[in-house]
Amino acid sequence: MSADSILDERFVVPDHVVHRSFAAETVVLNLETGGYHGLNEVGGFMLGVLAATGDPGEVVRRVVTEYGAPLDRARTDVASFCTDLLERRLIERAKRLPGR
Amino acid sequence: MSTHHAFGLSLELEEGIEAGELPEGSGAAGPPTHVRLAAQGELDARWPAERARTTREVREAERLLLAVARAPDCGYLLTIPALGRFLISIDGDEVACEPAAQDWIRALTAQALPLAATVRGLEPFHASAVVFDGSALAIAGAGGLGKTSLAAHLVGAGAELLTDDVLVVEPDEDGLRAHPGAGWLRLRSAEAGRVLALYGGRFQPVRPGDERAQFAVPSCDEHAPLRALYLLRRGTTTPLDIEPLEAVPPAELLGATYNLSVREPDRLNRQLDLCQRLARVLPIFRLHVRPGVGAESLASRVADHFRALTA
Repeated sequence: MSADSILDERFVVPDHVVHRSFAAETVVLNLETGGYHGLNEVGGFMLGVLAATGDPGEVVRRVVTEYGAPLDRARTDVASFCTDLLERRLIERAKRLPGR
Repeated sequence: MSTHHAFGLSLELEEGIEAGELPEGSGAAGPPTHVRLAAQGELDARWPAERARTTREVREAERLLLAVARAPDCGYLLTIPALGRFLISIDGDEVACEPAAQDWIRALTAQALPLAATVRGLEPFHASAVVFDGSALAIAGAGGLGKTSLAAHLVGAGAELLTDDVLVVEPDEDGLRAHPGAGWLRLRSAEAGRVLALYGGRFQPVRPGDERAQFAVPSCDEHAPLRALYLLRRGTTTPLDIEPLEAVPPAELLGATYNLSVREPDRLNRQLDLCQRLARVLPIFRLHVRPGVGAESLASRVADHFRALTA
């Protein structure tokens, strides 16, 4: 899957996944499996935006704004991040695209 | 029947169950947990083995030391072959005990009641705690680092024991509340000899043991505000014994749980919430256990540090 295609999708954090921020880390917990996942500060920020908006493109924009990351780098990182969360079943594709 | 409290539970103990290490009286909120002896064959008759799922097993080589199984409509069955079996009802309001050895009470206080507390929505940590002037400090860390020895020497330095090895922490409007547990200390023989020589009357031998002797010590029978957590770590190059932790690794807090048997979503969520709250509101310190620095010396430094913190 290309970065462009995944950035055009919409995602939700399912009800069985919860996340809590700590000082230097965000812990993501899959309540169905009991598995814990750790995210660094930037990962926690990206998950927070993704959970609130469902839009990877918005995550890219916010990463560029907040961290001054180059756009191309931010797109690659966010696409990789979403792929990783999907594989770990910590996010799901939204059933219906909001606003479409 | 006698009334006790421990681990945030109000307990009603059936006549014949002698648990002198548990604080007396109904000092905990909520309806009581009834602790009784099971009738012969009762546990086998009640336990739906075909619908049960093992949630934890501890083995040494092939020998089973401890097992916990859960049956959704029945509860949790705790099996400690050397000491007995315990059936904890699904809402934690009853513990039916099937003793298998004379000192089975040890399994009740160290395993069955903390499990019942978890089932009832409380969160036990693998930690000891003492109280100075009404404020509690907790000590957590991997097994064998000396939590109990440190607690013993803190008691020697004037603290009251709140709990040894199992600490139930509960959020309240003022921060965090630490609940009393079993009020006796179990010390290895070498450490037992040291504390008796150093602190004399503060340690009253209760029960000798092959590996550990049991002592009644001055204890705090009521919950106390938790003011600090010290996380033990062995060996370091830092010159400091006590360092503030600005960014506590959440895995270290989550890993300090005492209960690995209850994996229901509500409980996992609650545990994560509580760990987040601990990290946010509680002063947490790294306590370095270095070669050549004994528990007595370390306890003296912790006592001074905590008194300064809470002054």
